[in-house]
Amino acid sequence: MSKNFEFKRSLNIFKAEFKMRFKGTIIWLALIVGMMAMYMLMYPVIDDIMGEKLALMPEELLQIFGMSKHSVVDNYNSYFAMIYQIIFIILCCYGVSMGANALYDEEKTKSIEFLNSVQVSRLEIYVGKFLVIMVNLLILVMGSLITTILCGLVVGEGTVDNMAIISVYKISGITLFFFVALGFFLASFLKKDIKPSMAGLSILFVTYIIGYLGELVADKIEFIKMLSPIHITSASAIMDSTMGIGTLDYNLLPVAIITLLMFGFIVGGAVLYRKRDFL
Amino acid sequence: MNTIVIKSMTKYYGKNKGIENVNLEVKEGEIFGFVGKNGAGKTTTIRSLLNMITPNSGQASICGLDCLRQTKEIKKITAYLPGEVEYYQGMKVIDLLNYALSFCEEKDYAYVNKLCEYFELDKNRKINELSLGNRKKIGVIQALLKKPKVIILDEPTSGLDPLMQAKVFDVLIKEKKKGVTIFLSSHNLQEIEKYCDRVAIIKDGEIVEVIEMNGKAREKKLLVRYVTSDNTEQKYVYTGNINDLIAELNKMDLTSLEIKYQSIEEEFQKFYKGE
Repeated sequence: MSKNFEFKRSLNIFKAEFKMRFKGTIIWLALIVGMMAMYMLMYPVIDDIMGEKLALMPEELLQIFGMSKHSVVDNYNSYFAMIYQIIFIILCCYGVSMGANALYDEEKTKSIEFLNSVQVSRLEIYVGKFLVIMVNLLILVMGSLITTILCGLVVGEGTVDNMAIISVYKISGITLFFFVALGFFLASFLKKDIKPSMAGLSILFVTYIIGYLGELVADKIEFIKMLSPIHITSASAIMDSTMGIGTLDYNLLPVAIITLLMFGFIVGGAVLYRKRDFL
Repeated sequence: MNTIVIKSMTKYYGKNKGIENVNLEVKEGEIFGFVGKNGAGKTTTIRSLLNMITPNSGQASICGLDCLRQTKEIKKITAYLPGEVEYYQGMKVIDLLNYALSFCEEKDYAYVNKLCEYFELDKNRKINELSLGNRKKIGVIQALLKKPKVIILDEPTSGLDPLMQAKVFDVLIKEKKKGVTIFLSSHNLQEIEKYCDRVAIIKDGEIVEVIEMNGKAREKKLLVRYVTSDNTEQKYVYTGNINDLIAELNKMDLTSLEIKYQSIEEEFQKFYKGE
């Protein structure tokens, strides 16, 4: 690190921001845990009633929800893959919005003037804010993971593979942090009149739709689904490959590319933020 | 010795001029006023000094430290009060001041308490419950708590009542006596006249005049206004010998006469006449 950077100062920002965001984080945690618990505890009912009906649904419709014919609710993990797809998209939206707003809101509300007046560099501000969003997201992910495992103990009926569930959280977590980094990157250079969270959410949904289209037109332009981080790290894709019944050739190369892009966005965002004009 | 030096600084926002070829020197231990209309370039100059915006060209330094490359060192010795004092909603005053203090190497909590008492600021109030004036007080306290060598203030007294304005300047004068250099922008020309050692007037992004407030040149600037018996009114600035002026006026048949030192307000207005 350069002499212009002292982690202690980033930590000061982290502590203050964490405290300020604490209520919001708790509300989000309650929402994610509540949704996850509600859906997962319904597994036995869904298994009985919906299993056969879902199996009759067209493949294309199932793919919208990140499912395939193979992964309809015949076990707890497959059901989790379906439910987690919803939670995953919510968390991705949360990540990109929070990432983008962490820097944007300071400028919009002019509270950045406070940080400009204290002895802290822009890099320290960037790192402190990045850390707090990452930790907040990690809290939500951990809440969701713990809920999934606990619900599995209650209603899993011996069809739970916790290692596979943890793999889903670990791999999809990279995409979550990728979207946080994207949010920071956008906020570091977009002008004040363009809301970076809207730009980030647009990118998220466009890439999501591209992934879905790639699945629909698998034979012709299948490669386009690789442009969608959500699709690459969807729970069903990871689960399918884990169970050896995947239709997507799941491998770590796309995840490595997402990771590299994530670091690119983090570093690029930091460089651009240091040069940004605070008007 | 000059504490703040700005050399040929220019900043354009796209095609719009912020400042152009600004040159300024602020001496150690002086209170330097910076006046101009809204949008004249005061805040752009201050933000360039503190590396909040990057100028297109030119250089600036504070205490010999380059404003672009040595921002961290500059922030260590420089206090800044922004024009718009917006803080984190829901945070208590004391929490914000402690947050500011957490970045200082020397944490003098007693001094913070003393400043809060002096400015009659309730530390336990939430910031979103405070008036603009009270938020301004937080800004002033925050600027002072790091015990700086240089204080840069953008509209320090806007929103404050006259008593509090006087209190702010009392503190600034005490700081000045300790050798602290103070650079402030203001629309309040009376306070500039009363407290500043020198004043720069900025118009359309360019410095048009730097005035010594207590200098001999300024003492010589007399504003003469008279009406003669045939109802002709004359108004002009006289810079010559005062006895010659009296002798000249003595020859006229006057119905009214006013002679006074030209105020900063009048000097300021001469640049904006006809706008």
